[in-house]
Amino acid sequence: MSHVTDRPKHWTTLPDLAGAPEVEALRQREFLTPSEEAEHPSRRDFLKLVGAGAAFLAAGCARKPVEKIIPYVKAPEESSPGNAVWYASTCEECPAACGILIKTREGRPIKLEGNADHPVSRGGLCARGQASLLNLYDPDRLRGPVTVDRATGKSQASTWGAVDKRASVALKGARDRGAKVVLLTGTLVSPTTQALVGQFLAEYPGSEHVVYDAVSTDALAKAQELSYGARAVPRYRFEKADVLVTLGADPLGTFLSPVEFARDFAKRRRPELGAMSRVIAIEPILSLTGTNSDQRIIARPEHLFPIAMAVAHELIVRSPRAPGDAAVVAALQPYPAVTVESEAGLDPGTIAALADELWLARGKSLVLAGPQAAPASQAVALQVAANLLNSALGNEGVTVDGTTPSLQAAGSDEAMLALVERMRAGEVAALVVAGVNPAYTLPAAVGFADASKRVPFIASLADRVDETGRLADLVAPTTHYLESWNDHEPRRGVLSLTQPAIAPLYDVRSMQDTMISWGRFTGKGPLAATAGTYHEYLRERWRTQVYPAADAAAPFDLFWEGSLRTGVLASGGDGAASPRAFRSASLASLSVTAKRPDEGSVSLVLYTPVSMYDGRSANNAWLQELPDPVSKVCWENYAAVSPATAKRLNVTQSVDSPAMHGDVITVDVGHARVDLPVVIQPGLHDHVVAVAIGYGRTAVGRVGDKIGQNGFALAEATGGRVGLTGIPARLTKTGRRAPLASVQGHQYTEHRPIIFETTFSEYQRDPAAGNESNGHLPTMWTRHKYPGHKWGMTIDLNSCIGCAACMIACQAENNIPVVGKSLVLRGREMAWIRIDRYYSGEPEAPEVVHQAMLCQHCENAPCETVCPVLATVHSSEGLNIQVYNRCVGTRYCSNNCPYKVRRFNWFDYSDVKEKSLRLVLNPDVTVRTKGVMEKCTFCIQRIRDGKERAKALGVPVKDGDIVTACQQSCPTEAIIFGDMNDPNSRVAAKRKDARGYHVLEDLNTQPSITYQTKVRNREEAPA
Amino acid sequence: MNETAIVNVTGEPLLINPNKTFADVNAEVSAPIERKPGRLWWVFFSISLLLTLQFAAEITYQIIKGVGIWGLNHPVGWAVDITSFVFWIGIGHAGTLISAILHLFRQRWRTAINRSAEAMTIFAVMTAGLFPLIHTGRPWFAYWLIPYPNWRYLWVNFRSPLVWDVFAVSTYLTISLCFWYTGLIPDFASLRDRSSGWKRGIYAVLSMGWRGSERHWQHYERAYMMLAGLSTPLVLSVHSIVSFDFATSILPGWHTTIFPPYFVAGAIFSGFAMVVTLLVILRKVFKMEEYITLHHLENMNKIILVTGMMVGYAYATEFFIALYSGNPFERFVFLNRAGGPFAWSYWIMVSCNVLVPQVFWFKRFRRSLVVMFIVSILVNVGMWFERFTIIVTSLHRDFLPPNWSYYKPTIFDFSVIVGSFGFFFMWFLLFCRFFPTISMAEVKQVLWNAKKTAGKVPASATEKIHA
Amino acid sequence: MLELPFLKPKPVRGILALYDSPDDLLNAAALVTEHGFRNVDAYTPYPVHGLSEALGIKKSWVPWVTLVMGLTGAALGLTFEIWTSAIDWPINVGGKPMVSLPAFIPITFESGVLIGGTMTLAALLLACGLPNFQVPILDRDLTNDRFGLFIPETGPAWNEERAIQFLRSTKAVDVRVIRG
Repeated sequence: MSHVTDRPKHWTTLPDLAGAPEVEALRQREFLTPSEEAEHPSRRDFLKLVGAGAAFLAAGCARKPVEKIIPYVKAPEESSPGNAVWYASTCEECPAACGILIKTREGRPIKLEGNADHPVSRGGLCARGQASLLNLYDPDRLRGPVTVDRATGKSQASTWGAVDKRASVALKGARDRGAKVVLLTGTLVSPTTQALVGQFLAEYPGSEHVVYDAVSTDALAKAQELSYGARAVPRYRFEKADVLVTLGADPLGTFLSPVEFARDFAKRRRPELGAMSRVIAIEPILSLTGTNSDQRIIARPEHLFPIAMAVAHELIVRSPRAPGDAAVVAALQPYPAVTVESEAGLDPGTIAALADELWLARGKSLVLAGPQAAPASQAVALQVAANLLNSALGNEGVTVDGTTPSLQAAGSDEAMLALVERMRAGEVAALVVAGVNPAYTLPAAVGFADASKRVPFIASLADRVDETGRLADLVAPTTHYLESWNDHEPRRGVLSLTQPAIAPLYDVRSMQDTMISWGRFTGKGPLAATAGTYHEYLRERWRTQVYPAADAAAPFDLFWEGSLRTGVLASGGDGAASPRAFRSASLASLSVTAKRPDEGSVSLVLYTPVSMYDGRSANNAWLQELPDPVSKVCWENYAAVSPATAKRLNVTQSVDSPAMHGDVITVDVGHARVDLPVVIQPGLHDHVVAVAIGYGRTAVGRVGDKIGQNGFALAEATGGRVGLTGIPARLTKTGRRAPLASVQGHQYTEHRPIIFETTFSEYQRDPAAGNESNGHLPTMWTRHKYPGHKWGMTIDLNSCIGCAACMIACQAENNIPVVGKSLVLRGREMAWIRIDRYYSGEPEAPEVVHQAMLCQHCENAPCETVCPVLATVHSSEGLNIQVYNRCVGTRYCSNNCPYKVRRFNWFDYSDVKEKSLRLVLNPDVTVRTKGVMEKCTFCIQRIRDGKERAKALGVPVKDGDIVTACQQSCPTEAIIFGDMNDPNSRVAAKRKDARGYHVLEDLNTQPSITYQTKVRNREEAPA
Repeated sequence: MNETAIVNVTGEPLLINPNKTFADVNAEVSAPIERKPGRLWWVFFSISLLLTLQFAAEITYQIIKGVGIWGLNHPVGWAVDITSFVFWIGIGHAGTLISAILHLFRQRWRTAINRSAEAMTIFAVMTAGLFPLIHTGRPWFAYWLIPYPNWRYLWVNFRSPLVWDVFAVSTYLTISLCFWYTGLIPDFASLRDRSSGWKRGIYAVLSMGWRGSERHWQHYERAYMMLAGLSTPLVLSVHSIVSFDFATSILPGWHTTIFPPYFVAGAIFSGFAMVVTLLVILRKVFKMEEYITLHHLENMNKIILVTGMMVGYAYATEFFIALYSGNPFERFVFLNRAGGPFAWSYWIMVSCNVLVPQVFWFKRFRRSLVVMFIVSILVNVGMWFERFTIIVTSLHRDFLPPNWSYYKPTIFDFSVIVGSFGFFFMWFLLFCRFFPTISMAEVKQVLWNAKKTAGKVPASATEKIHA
Repeated sequence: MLELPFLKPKPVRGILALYDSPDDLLNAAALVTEHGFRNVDAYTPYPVHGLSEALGIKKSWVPWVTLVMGLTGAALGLTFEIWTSAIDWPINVGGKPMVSLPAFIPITFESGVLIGGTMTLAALLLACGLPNFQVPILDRDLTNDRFGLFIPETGPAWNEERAIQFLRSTKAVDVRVIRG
């Protein structure tokens, strides 16, 4: 992957904004419409604009006619160079549609942060959301429309005029022939876009809108339809669940709305509140949720459904407690606990205990099954079983809210597979693909590529010529969402807006604008009348639909501006949900072919990785270098097997990075096979091999192409459903070995004073339980005085779920370079904040702790003493300061740092070849040159900013005024930063808390970071 | 090889053949300088020159690309660079020890070897000095380690052992040069009076007009004694300070109170080994067998044996203390050294430094050129790996297990190792070619005593006055 | 005779006796002062012990320079460290006190040795009046295998014959009259 190894060069530099001609050009383009390009504004005009406050804001996204967008309410009144301007918007990296604030400097978006006012995400932002900023500046984006030669897949630059003409001719032709036009999109969370789609398709009789999600919740929605009559994804209320049972679901990792779920989840993991939820994960692989569970039951995918049924059997049939009519009882008959336990290889009594726990917490528990957790043939059945349990336990209407459902996932596998069939049958005359990439994400067996050959016209609306684009006739390049207008309804009653923070960097057009102009071209129909852009369309719809419903006092213009300011409009709010009646018929309707997994083969689980998701952002180097939260491997996917399986296959994996190597094995599912290096993953089922999807892309760009193998290729499509799990596979050793870019050397604490943990019952007896911290140590010196501020941080190991959002937040905030696989292999990764993941207990069933590790800003910092040139010293506010300009790079500080949180610039990472990537840099943070040491600064630029804002207002800095990047993005509020000298600060309080301790305290480094003990909600100590 | 020791009437060995005249000494010591160098010299010299050139190339490339071309990583921030630094500083110590400490102890046998030993010191320190320079990420700013007045009003951190190094090493080099030059003055005078033309001019300037006046000798001997007196604590302090680089850190395996004496012993050990290596070559190439006798070499082999056992004792002690201390970090580091991924380097160190020198218990081997040559080289291999073991095994697995890593050297790491040897030998060979490798003035003293004890001249007034 | 032609030689007048053994020189030296000769000097290839006593040359003062300069250097070193770290720009480094005395000792010692050593060499050259290229070399073998005793011409009372007489009476292999 040599082409990958060159990447690092691309990621940091001080953007010489005045100097770099391209940068200047791009900047100017912000103030131009394509049509105006004749009259380029001069440099002076540009500066005028920059200085011109509101005028600038208007111009900042100038189109024709001028569209007014409004900076976030907390932003400075007028913009001037050096001041950030914030816009409220919505993240479109995935359909979760979290609220975000876009930080722009001189018209460049440079950082995304969670919008605390957004009722769904409420302040946090996940790693992928953070990283989606980088996609805006992706140098491999299309810079204008292209036509594609289907035979070769080669694309050729074109013009909008030509592309629009060709499209409309094709579409008109299809309509006139009365042939089928199909629009294929992912889940559209935007009601306005949906309306637009409706109008667009209305022009084509018999046309169809197919919604397809690669990571599908189809089974879940389908089961809801069967059980409760309406196809919908309910809203899950983790904050109301005393007992949470997941069946192969990963709500903290990738399922549906991770930020929302993580926040609610963490609310119930705070022992100091006196009550703590209990989390039981039943799963074949070690998911992020699994690592945060109190109890894990390891089961094959094929066994999840029987287990769920057996639990119901316990509750309803064996020792009847919960209601259940004859049909239910009949359906449960085949699943007595004993049989299932012996089949699934569970300890006897496991299921009974599970049932009892759930029953005790009835009405306050939640059973959540992953839509992809069971084999395709059982996926719906598993969901129905989960519905049955939730209804039987009275959770329906409490922790499962069907009345204000989530609208974050609407994809249908059935529709997608049917479409491919129709394409193959030649029934589709024109196919418009927008925002999805079936050529990559559909199982190879489905044969999308072949089918596409039978479609006369295919248009792809995407930001690059991706795998699907190569099969199309033309690609109409779409804007990044930071360049677009849109609205979203992630949950019924919650409307949030997307507004452009920058004009399109290139000659591209939002998907909606393309649809409008194509609709216009084709003459008749509702869109024919529509003049103007999607922005007007959106505003108009809000005026006619949303505004009246909101019955706001203000006139519409103010209402509109207000909504743009806050970025979100919530109506209804958290009204109590009403329970829906469970239709026991849904059980009967299940035709479960409970297939017995044969012991010779193993079950393949294609899981969705936190960093890559379905591979949509595979060209994003921040995400590629983000280590997997569990395996800590980055830049590739691999075949994870349990230690026992590894022994059986006689494969090994060397432990210490960067010399980590794994044997390469072949994963063969019959219709497809891939070779992958093996990772020996504790906590995996012995008959399971886990492979991440989202890798092995071939047409995404220079970063993401040919990294790892495409897991989707191994997926199966049976019974109108795409199956990602429980696929029988055979593993064979190839004899080759391959390096693994792992960022963690060793997996256990070796009984060192790093992690302190206890159980909830112990904690209730003594809050200091498990905390071996021995308070203050004697010191030779008289300690220095810190009048004024003394910055400190606390990290709650109980809240930290290891989601790695903080890592990307830090990367974006502090201009941290990506070094590429080859240098990660040599132990040269640059992350200022990393998450150390420790296992404890048996390798077969380990317990896990995630520990965010960053510069501890020690009061007695060992690094400072040894620096010969005073390049790292202590500030009067207790910060451990690194002076890049003074550093000569002896690396002595790093050698003497017990936490090894310092990072060295081995090469000149600041030399960025791709100019567009310079625009992402935060101008408040120096980029580091070759040969200097760098590390976490506690976001000193934010401290500065906070102090200056307070000074300007003439008030003292309040607790919470200054928020570090990692803290801001943390969905679980595990990280808290503040002034330790301020007795009322949360930090001061938490440092005094009985759970507080310092890592490696005995070294008497006096860290400014206090960790809080991990509290597990289980009785007995681990075996 | 079959050299027989010259003994006096009482049978104890003489340091020099009493039949020689004073004139012989001048003639024979000056010979290599006055005649053209032989083929052997050219062979050695061109090899070391080549190695030096590739060293220069490596440094240039490294300054352009970055220190990342070495195999270093996070957490192993030092490896070959500082290993070689400590190694070469250590080599230097034998020179000072021979010239200063043996002088204070009136060890007459030093006279034949101290000149070349001192030269070795200077070149070794020059070589060592390169590494702190090139190991930095930004060598062009390395001068920031020196406290000079600047517009930033910024000084240096006097608490940092690296700054101590700067002072210790530069002082060491300066004092060694003074000492060496003082010793050379009378010999330059001798060369001046033997030569003519421009050569004579050069030696005249170098000798500064020395004429051997008794009034000058009077000051000269006291000054020489003072320099010897200063160099003795200096040599001990220098390697103690080098050991502070590690001892004052908090890293398990570095943070050890035994380091200063342990490092000094190791330095002398490796230094003497290097002297033996050099002299065995030198006396062959320049036919100095009659001045650098087996007796000299045997004495040094004895010292190698002793210091070797000191070092072995230090290994045992730190291991014992680590296990005995009950400190889990210490304990782990040492078990990891002996049994971890770098066990091979640990056992190279132990076998070369502790086991190999034991052959010197036997006189036959102490006096066998072949054996001592091989042993001296093995000892230096062992001592290089001692430093490597201390540095790398402590770094690659420290406090937090997630940081644990491995160190794999690149071609460039090897390039600097061999390059440093080339650099060192280049200077030494030039020294042999242009400087008197043996202190003529001092040898003459020894010669006169030899004549007396061998009864070649009548004992007379001298003794009375000496007594 | 003179090694640097461009320098004018200082005239030297006196009688030089050459010996080929240090013992003969010593015996002569033991007598020369008794015969009332002043400022007598000896030239030898290596320091012959007892000569200075015989010729009544005072002990060297160089060691005092070493002592004083060594102590001065140490004092300067420590003062400089304290001034830079605690007075000129005090910076909190690793929570250590501004004057971290234990950490300052190594450099204190080194600077003592540095100043002491270099000054010793300087003192030596000063004491011997070196470099000096103007005094002629009396005989080239004096740095090789000859030992010389030199009686300089002294004022009006100078009796050349007496000096030659005396030196001839010793085991001198050669007696020369020097008229530089």
